Amino acid sequence: MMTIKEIRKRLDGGDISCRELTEAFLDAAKRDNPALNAYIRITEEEALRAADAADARRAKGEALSPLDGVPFILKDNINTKGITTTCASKMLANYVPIFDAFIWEKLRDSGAIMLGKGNMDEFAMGSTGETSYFGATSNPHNLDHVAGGSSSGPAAAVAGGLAVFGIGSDTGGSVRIPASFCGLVGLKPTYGAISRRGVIAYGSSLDQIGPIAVCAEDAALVFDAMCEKDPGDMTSVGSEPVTPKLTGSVAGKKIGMAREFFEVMSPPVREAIERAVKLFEKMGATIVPLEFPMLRYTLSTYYIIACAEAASNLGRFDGLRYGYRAESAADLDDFICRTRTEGFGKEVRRRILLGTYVLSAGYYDAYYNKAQLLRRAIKNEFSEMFKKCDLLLGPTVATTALQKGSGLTPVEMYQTDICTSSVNLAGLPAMSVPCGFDEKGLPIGLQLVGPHFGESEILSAALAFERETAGEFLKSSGMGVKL
Amino acid sequence: MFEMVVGLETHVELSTKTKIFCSCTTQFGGEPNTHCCPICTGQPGSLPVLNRQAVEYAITAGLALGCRINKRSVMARKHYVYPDLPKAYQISQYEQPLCEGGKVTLSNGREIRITRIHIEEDAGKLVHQGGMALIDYNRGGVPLIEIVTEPDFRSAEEATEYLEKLQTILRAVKVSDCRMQEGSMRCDVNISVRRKGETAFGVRTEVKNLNSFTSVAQAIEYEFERHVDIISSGGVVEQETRHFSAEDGTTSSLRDKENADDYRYFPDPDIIEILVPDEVLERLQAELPELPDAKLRRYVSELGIPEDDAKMLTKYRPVSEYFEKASEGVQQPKTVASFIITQMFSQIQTEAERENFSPGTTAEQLRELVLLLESGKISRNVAKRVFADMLDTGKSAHDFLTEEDLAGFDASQLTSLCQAAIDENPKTVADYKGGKEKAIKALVGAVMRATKGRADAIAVEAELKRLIGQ
Amino acid sequence: MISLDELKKLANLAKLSLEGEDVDALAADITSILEFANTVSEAVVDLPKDEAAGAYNLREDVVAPSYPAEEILLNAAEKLDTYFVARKIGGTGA
Repeated sequence: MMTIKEIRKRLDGGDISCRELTEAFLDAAKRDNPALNAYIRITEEEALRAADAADARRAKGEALSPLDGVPFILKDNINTKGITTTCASKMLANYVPIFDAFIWEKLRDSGAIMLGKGNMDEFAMGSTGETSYFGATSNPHNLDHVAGGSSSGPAAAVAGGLAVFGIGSDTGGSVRIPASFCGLVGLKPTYGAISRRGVIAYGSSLDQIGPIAVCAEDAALVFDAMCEKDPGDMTSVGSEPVTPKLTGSVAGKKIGMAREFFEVMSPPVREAIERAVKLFEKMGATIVPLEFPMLRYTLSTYYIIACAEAASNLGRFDGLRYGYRAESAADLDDFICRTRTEGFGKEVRRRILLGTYVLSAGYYDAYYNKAQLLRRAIKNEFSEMFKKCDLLLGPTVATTALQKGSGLTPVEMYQTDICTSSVNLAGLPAMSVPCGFDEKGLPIGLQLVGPHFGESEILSAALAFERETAGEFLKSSGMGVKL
Repeated sequence: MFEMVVGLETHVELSTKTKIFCSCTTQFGGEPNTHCCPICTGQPGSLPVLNRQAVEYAITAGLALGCRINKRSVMARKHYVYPDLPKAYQISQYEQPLCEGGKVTLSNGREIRITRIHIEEDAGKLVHQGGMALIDYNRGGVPLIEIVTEPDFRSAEEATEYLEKLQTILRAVKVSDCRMQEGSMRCDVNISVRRKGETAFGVRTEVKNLNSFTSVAQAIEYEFERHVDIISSGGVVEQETRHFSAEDGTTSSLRDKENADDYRYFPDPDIIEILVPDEVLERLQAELPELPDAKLRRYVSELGIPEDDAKMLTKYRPVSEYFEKASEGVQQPKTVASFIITQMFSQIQTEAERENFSPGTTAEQLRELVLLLESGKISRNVAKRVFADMLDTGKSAHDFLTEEDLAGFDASQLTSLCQAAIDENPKTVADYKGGKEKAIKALVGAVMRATKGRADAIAVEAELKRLIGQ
Repeated sequence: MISLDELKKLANLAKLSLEGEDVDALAADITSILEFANTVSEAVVDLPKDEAAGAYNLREDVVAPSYPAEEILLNAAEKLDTYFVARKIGGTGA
């Protein structure tokens, strides 16, 4: 599996042209995507045009950035003007955005080459990738297993050798979980570090765009291309680039481990995490045991807030201005109800109902208001933990990738987010780093959580871990591009 | 026996150049959906960006109405479904509005308490055609303030007086042009009825979107009667929203509205809490122009202008500005006032003309004329005549003043001219001596004619009386 | 257990139809999800009043070109001239 640096080396060395590189990825995508279902849409024309432009720049030695000429996949909830953007939903199956997402503009400006739009859970609601209107995405390491969600397509594409990096979005774990299941690095930045303008909203106070990549350095480079403050997003704060701050060392660092995170792990995950802990200690870090008593309330707090915001954000889909439209209806009200019921999948409808309920008269105080109070308490507990350590360590998910069609109930499915969702509530940066495999060869991920705008802290630790383990956990799936 | 208990909610469009959450123009007109963007049409992925001027106009309105400004203020989503609302929620305010606790005092002394003022976005417009509604979002996103009063009104007249005062104040501080006819000011009426002396409130009904003072008054009167009829006959008023028909001045039930909407308010996560800096508050307070009531009191008590005249002058901002400019350096501003009221206002009768007061004769020209009068160079009659000519042509005083006019009147001639008039009109003198007071005016008239109006009529009358008395 | 009546009211608020839905299964799902969400009621939290970070990063009142009507209407399934179209309307909104 090639990193951004390695790709750039070959491009800069004249080894391969950007066009050749892009064509190779496009061919691989067309060949392997049917098995993976990672791409909803392969944007061949756009990609080749961008590749030619990149080659023209290379010829003049005018690379726009470290990402110039590097092919990637963009999750399909990110607006690309003129290119259909579906959110993996029947509701938007033919929707063509009229404006570009801020981060898509930034990535274009960086010279990176978009190969296509990535599959996902419908409207980003899901943890396995199985709620997509276009069918589930398979895990390249084992096609009978899910890729994880909701950024299933980007993770599967990168792990399947069909893109060098992917851009996902993370509301309760949707970048980290698929990264963990697919053996990749997935970074969820601090809330506000990356603009949400043009990202079709799910949980507005929780959503963040994040890179899914082969290594920590790549994640840092991609983050740097997108972290400009955007006046078009009032919640955007922006961030300084992190690459210059990467140290690749954890010597002298205090790594906190909350007991509660460890109570949920399956045996192979526990084994891999314990081994990782020993390695961090070997590298000079001190492990600090901590308590996180609020953890048991984080899932319900997360789902109340996320679903409330989602129900609100999805109210606009009524067939009048864009999107799916019911064929026939008795009157306008009926038309709107049919459009929404036919256009949205089951999980989306359930979350809209939950979100509507928790905001409704008589329930607002007990649910939404209470959840916001608990959210503050959770933030405070994280703050307390960060007084005693520089970063937190735990599993990303309690298990490895689930089998497809696991038949879990909605509430059981929500448990997938137990380790990841608390981080979104607090707005902190976190990432998943591959740290092992189970007996089936399915990847295991460890999660590093940093303080506010502590991306460089966690990326440095991840980098140190990668160097210490010398690519042991970077396993090719055997699919995709062979350069 | 019965009294009405009325509260008003007034929506006022702010005079910003752009919409509240996007940079689309607020200009009127344009083909449908040509003043729009992803934000004001609720496209997926769009995010609101709050207009600073809208916030500051709202704060200014709050200051002008005596409100407390909440430095920490929250935008909230108000959810309901209607095609003119593209996001299926309106971004408004619920808890922690920008302004709270102001008041407007009416001429009868009643204080109307203002509960709150908050900012919100306007919806688009629907045009009904056949079985279809055509939707235009050009007006969607225009910034509004909603001004809510306590149920302090006890008559329709009080309500319309309040609305007029609101208009005058908000225009004076330039946050809106408040034209009900054009929709930049709309009013919802909340009314309940109870027996006089009761303190508990009756059942409340609401009449929405009234767009003229007459409609507001009619709606209030009609609803009052309707409530009284129901209560008198032992019935119970149904709590509901009603539709007003301007054609016949009646209200009717909106049957298809089942229960009250559950708006599911919550703070908008896309817009972080507004924290108004102290410097901004101080600046807006300092920039607050003299409010109409204060101006009125000053005109009456300091400038000696009769109250009715002062009310006319302060009612329209361009008029008071014109008056104040024309009064610069003038000894008796009330002279300026009387020229404006008697000679200019008689020519411009409509509200619209007075609101847009911009006469051909400039304030400087009027000032020049008044200064000439005050210096004694011309007489009052001459000034009146000349001003009429000025108004007709837009030219300056000097274009009409002849040498004769400017020569003034030689006061030493006063006595002889008066004596001449007395000699030439013995019957009139006899009438006056006999008790007909008014007869003196005929003699004054004769002298004024003889001097071609250049004499001072008051001095003439005094001299005539003196001579007759001898 | 959420009653059928409550579910209908909820669906109406959310503008979703229950037609063709296995209403019993949905009610069971929603009930279990609500029970799960309701665990927040068990938490006892004592925090001082929130002093959330506020800001005054607002936009200047400068007009920018609007989008052409064709783009605004690009994804509309039904339009008339440059209007969006909604059929068979009832009521008068809020």
